[in-house]
Amino acid sequence: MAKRLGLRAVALGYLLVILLAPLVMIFYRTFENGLKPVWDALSDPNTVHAFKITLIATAIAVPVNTVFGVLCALAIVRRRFRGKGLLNAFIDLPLALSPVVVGLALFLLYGRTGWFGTWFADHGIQVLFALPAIVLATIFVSVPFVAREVIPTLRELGNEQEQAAATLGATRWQRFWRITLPSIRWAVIYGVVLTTARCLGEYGAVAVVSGRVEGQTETATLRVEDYTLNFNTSGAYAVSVVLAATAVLVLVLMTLIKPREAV
Amino acid sequence: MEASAARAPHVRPREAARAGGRASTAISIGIISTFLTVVVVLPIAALVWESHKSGADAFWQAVSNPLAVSALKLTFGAAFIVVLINIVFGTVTAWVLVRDDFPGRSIVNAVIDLPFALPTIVAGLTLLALYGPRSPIGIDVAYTRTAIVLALCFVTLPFVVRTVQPVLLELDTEMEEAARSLGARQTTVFRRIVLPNLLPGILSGAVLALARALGEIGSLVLIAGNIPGHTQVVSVYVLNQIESGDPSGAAAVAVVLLGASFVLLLAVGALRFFVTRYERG
Amino acid sequence: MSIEIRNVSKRFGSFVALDDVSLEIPQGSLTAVLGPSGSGKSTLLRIVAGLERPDSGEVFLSGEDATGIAPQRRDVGFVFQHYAAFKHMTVRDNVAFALTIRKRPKQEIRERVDELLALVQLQGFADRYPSRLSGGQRQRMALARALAAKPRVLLLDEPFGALDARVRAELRDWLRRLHEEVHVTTVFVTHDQEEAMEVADRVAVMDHGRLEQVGAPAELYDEPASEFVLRFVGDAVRLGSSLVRPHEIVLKRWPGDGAVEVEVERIAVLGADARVELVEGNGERLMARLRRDELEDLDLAQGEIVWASAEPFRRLAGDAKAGRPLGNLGRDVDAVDHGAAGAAAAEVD
Repeated sequence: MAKRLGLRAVALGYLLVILLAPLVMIFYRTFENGLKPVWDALSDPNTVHAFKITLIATAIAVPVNTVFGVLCALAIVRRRFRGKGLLNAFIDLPLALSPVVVGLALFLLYGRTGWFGTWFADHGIQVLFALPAIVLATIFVSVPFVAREVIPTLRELGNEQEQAAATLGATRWQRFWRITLPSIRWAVIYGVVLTTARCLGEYGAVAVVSGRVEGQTETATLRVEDYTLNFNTSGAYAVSVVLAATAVLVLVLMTLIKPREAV
Repeated sequence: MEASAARAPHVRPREAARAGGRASTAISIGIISTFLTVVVVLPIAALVWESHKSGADAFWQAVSNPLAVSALKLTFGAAFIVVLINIVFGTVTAWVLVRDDFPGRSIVNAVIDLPFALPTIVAGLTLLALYGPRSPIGIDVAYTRTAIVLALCFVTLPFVVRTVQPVLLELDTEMEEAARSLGARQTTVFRRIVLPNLLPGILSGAVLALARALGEIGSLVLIAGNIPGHTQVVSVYVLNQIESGDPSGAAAVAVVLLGASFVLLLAVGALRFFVTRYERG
Repeated sequence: MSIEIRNVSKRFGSFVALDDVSLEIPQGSLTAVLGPSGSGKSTLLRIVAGLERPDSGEVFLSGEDATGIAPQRRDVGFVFQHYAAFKHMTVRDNVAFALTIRKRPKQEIRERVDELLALVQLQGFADRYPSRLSGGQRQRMALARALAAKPRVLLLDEPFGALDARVRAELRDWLRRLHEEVHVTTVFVTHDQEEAMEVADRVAVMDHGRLEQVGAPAELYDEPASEFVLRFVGDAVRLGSSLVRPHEIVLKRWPGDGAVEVEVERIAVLGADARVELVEGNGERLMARLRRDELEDLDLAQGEIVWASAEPFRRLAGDAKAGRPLGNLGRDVDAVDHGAAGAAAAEVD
């Protein structure tokens, strides 16, 4: 009995120190000096713009990776082809890579002297240090999530329902739309939630490729760094609290959806 | 039914159907491969290319300079410590969440995923607030190596917990009951029955935590101080090199990090394979 | 719709699932494909449905070659062993599926679904989800679903395999009555010989990918074409050097012509029957099935020595000798010996 309480204390103590205290801290420190500094920071046009950039990148990366993730999962689970293991490994790659390394790789490809950079430069399109690079970086780092959630669900489902639908006269498209997709919808939604959280929180790769120009190519996360390095702590906390609030929302969604993912 | 007339028409529908199935697989694979190539493969290729662009000497120089070496040592050292901490605390946490029951357990369970949901830079900021110069509890470890371990513990916390939980949930308690009926004490049961069964889950989580710890940057930029040669991890070093106009040097170090991570992951993978050999009979 | 399977073969890697199987299934019949696991029966059914493609051979549905046609265009209804219920749809939507995707008018769908639910006795369950149904209810739903589009053939793959004994017995009965009402050509696959015999008009016995025998249940029982069929359809025990049915064994307290000396090991009373476990001098065990009155007449006790011989189950005038000599069975049924009239004892070859 004492052992049980002891273990509980150890676990909860660890979590308190590492997780909970910091979380509480953000909210406390932010509103320590009242609402005005928070409002000032959040209404600063550069900050608003930073949120906009983050949202645009997320709004592009999430649908792209969702479609990709579902296609990938279907191919890996339902089809036979050579190189499946390789495909699996490549999907997981962004999880194992440091975001800075990702940023560097994009820099090498799309910088003005990069592999593709010259082509883009000739056509007057700026990729690096502009929105396109930010979007690309955001897509790269959030590739795995939907695929990784859908694959096990698809595997567990098997394809008997689709077979039944075929015998009942459903065409391939009808089977996909009416049977396959609805069956995996919670796994997809959960994957989308994780992808969104990752996109919103991306820092390392965009730090390399964005150029960090205030009011133009800063994301919300870069804005936090900017404020901090300029000793504008209330500004930093203001943006952080918004991000933290979305994180809590994400957590709530994750908790609600996870049980439904079970097939 | 005339054999010849019956044969000719039906061969085509069957083959056509089979070919149709193969075609759509090919199209799917085509789309997926193109996407992956553009988004994942090419960037990696560019990286490896750039690191070798100026020849082996330049590569070696970039990698062996003292700052780079110190960054690599620090990163791997810190990562190892953090993984060990996670193995212990992560397993304990998973155990408490699965086997114990207390008010608020479900909230605690949900909060475990916080590091997945919270942007790393925000995490770094709050750790700084809590354990830095203006700490409300008087602990100031900012700009020290301790801060690095602290930040890495935050971002890697969920991994081992989440990989061990499902294993614990599925664990057949009958095994433990059988052991106890044969006279084993609780600690023995844990050591000889539970732990061996948890090991694959623990190792999976450890691998994920390791990969994450080696590449982490967001939570470290603010709290670690990034003092070159002292508290500068590889990711920050690489960032620095890019910003000082030495992308090749940066690429070289990045490739070394990648290579070393790859070897480590393979090693743990092999360990996991070995540990689960009884499952393969 | 009649089904003709012609010289169908199929392998999975090096495993031969079907080896040159030919079978005709007449319109409106209720046929069972019976065999142990691995005999290829499910594969055969799936090939008829179009869920698998044969390596060689053809499938004709109503005289037309359907071998290359996709399952959705074959007009077959298929019921899976584990129901394959659309978990995210209600019972109503499940049953309506075939009609919904054919874009039938809502009113028509509603009426047809209600009709089918009444047929399978699931009227009150229309708005439930499959997860809240029992196994038997799910299978009835699966049947209703398969029948919705009025298929010309109904195929069932071990439909009652996942259900417990009582539910299985009920559904067997029910399938038979359903067939009498609906009259669609029905083929079902099973490994349970009792089920096949009880439900079907015709039984096709398969083993290791080959068709062993096709015929009415009685035919299979009385005139097995091979030792496999003899053993698989009904019990068979070895007495001396031939195979006999347990209830064909006669026990007497005195030796007779060709009778085998056995010791009574155990007597189990099973209600109206009794099972007597016997052992021969050489250690061979066998089992006899006696009626209660026969048992009582004999007044048997454990450990007693008696003599066992085989009597034909039915006495056909001048015909049918009880028992089949081992190893003396060919594929044609002409092995029947026109032996001694009113044979009371087996002739052991």
